[in-house]
Amino acid sequence: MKLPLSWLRRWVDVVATPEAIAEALTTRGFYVEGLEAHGHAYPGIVVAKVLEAAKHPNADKLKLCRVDAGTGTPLSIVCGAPNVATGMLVPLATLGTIMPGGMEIKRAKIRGEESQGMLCSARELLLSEDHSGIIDLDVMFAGVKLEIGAPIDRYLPEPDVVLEVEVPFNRPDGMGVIGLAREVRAALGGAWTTDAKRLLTAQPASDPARVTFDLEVEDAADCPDYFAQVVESVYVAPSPPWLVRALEAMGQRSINNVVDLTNLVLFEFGQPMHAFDFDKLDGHAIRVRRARAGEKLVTLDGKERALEPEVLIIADRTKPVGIAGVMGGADSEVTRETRTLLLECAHFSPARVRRGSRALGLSTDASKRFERNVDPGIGTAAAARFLNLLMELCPDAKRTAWRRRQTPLAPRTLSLRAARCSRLVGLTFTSGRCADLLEALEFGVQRVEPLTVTIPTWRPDVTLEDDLVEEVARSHGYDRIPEAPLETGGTHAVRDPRERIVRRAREAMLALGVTEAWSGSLVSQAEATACAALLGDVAGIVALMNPMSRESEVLRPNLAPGLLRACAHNLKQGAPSVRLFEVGVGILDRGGKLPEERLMIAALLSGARWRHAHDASPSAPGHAYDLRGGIDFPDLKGLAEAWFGEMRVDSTEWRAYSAAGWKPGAGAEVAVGASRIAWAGTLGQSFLAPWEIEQPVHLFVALLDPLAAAATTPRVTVPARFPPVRRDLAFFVPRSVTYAQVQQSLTVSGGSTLGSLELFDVYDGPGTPEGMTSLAFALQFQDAERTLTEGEVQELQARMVAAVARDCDGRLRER
Amino acid sequence: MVAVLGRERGVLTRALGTIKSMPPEKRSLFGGGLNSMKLGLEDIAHFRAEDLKAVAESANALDVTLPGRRPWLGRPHVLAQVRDELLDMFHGLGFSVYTSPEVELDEYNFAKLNFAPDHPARDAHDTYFVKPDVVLRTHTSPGWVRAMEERKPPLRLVFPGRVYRAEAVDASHMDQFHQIDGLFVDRNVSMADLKATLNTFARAIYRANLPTRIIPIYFPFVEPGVQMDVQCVTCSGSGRVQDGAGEKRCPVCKGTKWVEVLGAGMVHPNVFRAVGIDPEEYTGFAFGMGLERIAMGRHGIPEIRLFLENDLRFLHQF
Repeated sequence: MKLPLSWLRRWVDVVATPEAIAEALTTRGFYVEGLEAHGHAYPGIVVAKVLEAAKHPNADKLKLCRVDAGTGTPLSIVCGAPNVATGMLVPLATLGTIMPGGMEIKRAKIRGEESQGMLCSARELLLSEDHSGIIDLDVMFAGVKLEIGAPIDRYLPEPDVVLEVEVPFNRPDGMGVIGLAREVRAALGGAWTTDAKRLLTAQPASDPARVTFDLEVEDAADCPDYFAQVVESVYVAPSPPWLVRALEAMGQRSINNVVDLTNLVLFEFGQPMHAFDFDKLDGHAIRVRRARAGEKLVTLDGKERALEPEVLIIADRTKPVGIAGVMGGADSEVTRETRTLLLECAHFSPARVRRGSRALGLSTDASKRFERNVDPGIGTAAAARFLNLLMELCPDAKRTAWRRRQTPLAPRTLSLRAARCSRLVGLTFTSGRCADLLEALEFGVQRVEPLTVTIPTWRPDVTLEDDLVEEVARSHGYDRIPEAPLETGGTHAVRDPRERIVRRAREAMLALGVTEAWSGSLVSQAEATACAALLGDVAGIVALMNPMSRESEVLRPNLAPGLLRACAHNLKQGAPSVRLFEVGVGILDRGGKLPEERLMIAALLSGARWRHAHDASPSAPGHAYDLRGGIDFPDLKGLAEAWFGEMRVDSTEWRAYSAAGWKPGAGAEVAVGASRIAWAGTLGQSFLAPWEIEQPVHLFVALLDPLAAAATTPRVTVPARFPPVRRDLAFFVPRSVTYAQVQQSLTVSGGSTLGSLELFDVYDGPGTPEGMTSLAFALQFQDAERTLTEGEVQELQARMVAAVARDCDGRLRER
Repeated sequence: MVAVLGRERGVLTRALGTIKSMPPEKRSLFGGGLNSMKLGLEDIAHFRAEDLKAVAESANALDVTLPGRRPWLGRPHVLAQVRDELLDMFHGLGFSVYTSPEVELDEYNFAKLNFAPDHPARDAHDTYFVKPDVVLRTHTSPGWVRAMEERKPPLRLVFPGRVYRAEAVDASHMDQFHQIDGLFVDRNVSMADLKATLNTFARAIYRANLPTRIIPIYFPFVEPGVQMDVQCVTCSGSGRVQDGAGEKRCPVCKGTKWVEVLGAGMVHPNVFRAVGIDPEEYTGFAFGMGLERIAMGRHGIPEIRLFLENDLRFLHQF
């Protein structure tokens, strides 16, 4: 809402700078977003007459003028404007004038001739961009008698400052200058102007002898107050300059006198009004009623609207002529041909206007105001203001009697305890202080504790005692509320287990050299479906009813879509490698009241194995400084294993896994106990095609909630202090046997003396028997109690070899 | 070297040979001295030989100026950093974390937070709908309702999370962003407690002496409602910035000298009633802030879109 101070001052006498007014409004809850100066004052610039404009003796493009500035002695002025001519009335900046741009006018010699001032162009006065010549004041102020030597400020509107005010949603009164004036008055202690007092209580005049129309309101709940008056002999014409300028300060373009007056009253009172062409109303009747199914109306914007019973309309005897509180009909629009108009000034139910506006998908300045609840007590004063001004602009106009259907307003009262106020604000208030502050805002107060407070009609937002507390608190000033540092009260904060697991998961991933991504939750249907399938989810994608675009029409089922978008983006931007992870929820509908939100972590690796390396081709033996080598599945698995270790999950079972999207034979699922908690693998090239990614991409996804349950609190094992014995063992095992089986066999047979077991080579090249693979292990034996003898180690080793032969059909590979 | 230590003709060897002819009381002194001298010289000779060997091998030396095989470094997301910093600060003030769903019932997102059905305040929240009564939460405040239904006061909680608004995406608008709400409910919580908490927050997150102010604002779920502003850092609270030779209105605070950082207020009695808490017995304050706004101000991030784009060149700056 724009608040020109020129408008404000019509209503309230207040002695304060624009900044102080802005500050007062802001600290009372009407945030002033900006102050804009409109127009300038021009001290020192006067109306002058060019007595003679002769050629400058020493310059072709300059003129030497003699100018009468009303001082008795003509002044000599050098001027470069091409349009300066004898007899012209011009603005003269006299010596010592500070121009609006900041330049000072000094006595000067220009090419040998003295210049005692400057004739001004429109640009020099910051009136427009025009710098083609000096201003011809006879043209600018056509019809105005100008006095030579008079300051031009006398003929220009006073400079104005316009405040841009953000009106809170619950304060419809702030959508009118009067409402803001009321706040300024309460804050800065001004008085209503004489004009204001008269205008706020005015009643429309009427000629009771002449009733020319019929008014019916079907349901008072939809329309508690409807006022209408017919005015004859109206001439629709351009508005006078004062009205054009006043609306301009409001940011409103002038249209014609009738429309401009409704806008003026709208901005002053916050009351939307509508004028109908009375002769277009069939039967000269107004019916405020619900639309009937099948009724149609072409609205002022030229669109035909199909109406329905939810919509409150204004109708004549036979047909709709307007949508109540939203927009008038095109047929009954006031035009240049209109001679008789019917002014409507009504109070419509906010909820009814909102439903009508929604049903038609049509929101207007008027409907927004009615939805927020226009002051139900201001209608007649607003109508009187409009009609009186209309009479001024159209002196021949004649009013007939007005008609009104009104449900009387019952005064609303609330009770306020000073103690409640003190308790909520944290500052002691007496009931006297509360009463003073409320009365300044024109609340009625019975000064007996608890206070009985009558709520003004323009404050529909005040419905509870605590609303009055806010009135008291903001009037007193939030800046005067003390600070009371929080005490712990014997309680302490606890870390939620989910928060704990998220922190650990993120920190472990960061420590493993993966950067954290945060991506959008809204993705395309295609991305969601493809990525859901990776984890075996074939249904349950949650779609939006009102998406903004196809790219963001459904919720992500897991974190893969975001990481894939990020991967594609970075590869396109020339990144050689991408290592990203994200923690967040994957959302799927599992038939519950709300979708399931699974907390998960996902990591995506693609590109080179080493940081700063640009070549992801396979590693080749060679120079010690070899940075080649692309990330592969073992890299991903190593990362995942290290991450599980950091999560204190010490036993994971990795199983081959295949689902749409993974590269065949390169997917795995990870179980802890009976539950599957993670997936890892290389993505298929055809899966990646929609993202236009051509290089291998490896993905790891783990559910975090089950991990929290699987995590163990480590119980310490005191490290053995006796010397370890190292042995390497290599086995030939059939290809069908997995590493996990061999490892299991060795671990079980090795027992507690087997301190560690690490695979260091897998080989199936020349020398390997048909159908076999060689697995080589580095073993370390250590006993907690004593030093192992060579014999004991030999015996253990033999037991392990036998176990592998028995369990895995494997045999020791001789050197 | 041989001249001194040589087995037959070396000076030291020969000197040691003369010991036999010395009187017994002098032999030990003389012999001991010579022996330590001999050992010292042998050490020097040994290390010198090693050096010479190394020089001989230097043909195979590393070019130590080559860049190292640098390990990967993971960087936390800037929003995670801001979030964790805030959570840690509120943890210190006794606030525990409470998480609630992103896909939320209308009832929790609006109705129980005192948004009447058909109330125009709902329009300020451009809402994504999943079903007519299920929405993507437009704020993290539904968490208060869930927490208050689940637990008994006193409550001191913070609610971090992602929120959604159906808005077209541009440099300063995203349809997904992040908030942290806070809630404190106890027998006598007042605006004075709220003011102290908000100022503690501002001092911790901005700087200790940055001026702050609280002013009234409307939210349906609080009464009285509070907005906290901090002094504009860009123009140091002057409202003007240098523009070439002259001055212009500060583009960040639009000349108002203040920048909004959060919304807050006293929990509305209707919200208490909706969750079965008696507003005469308990009072409470709540606040909510946006992570993006804080991160943008702190790091000079010009576009909100950058946060969820995951460009590595952006992510690696934090």
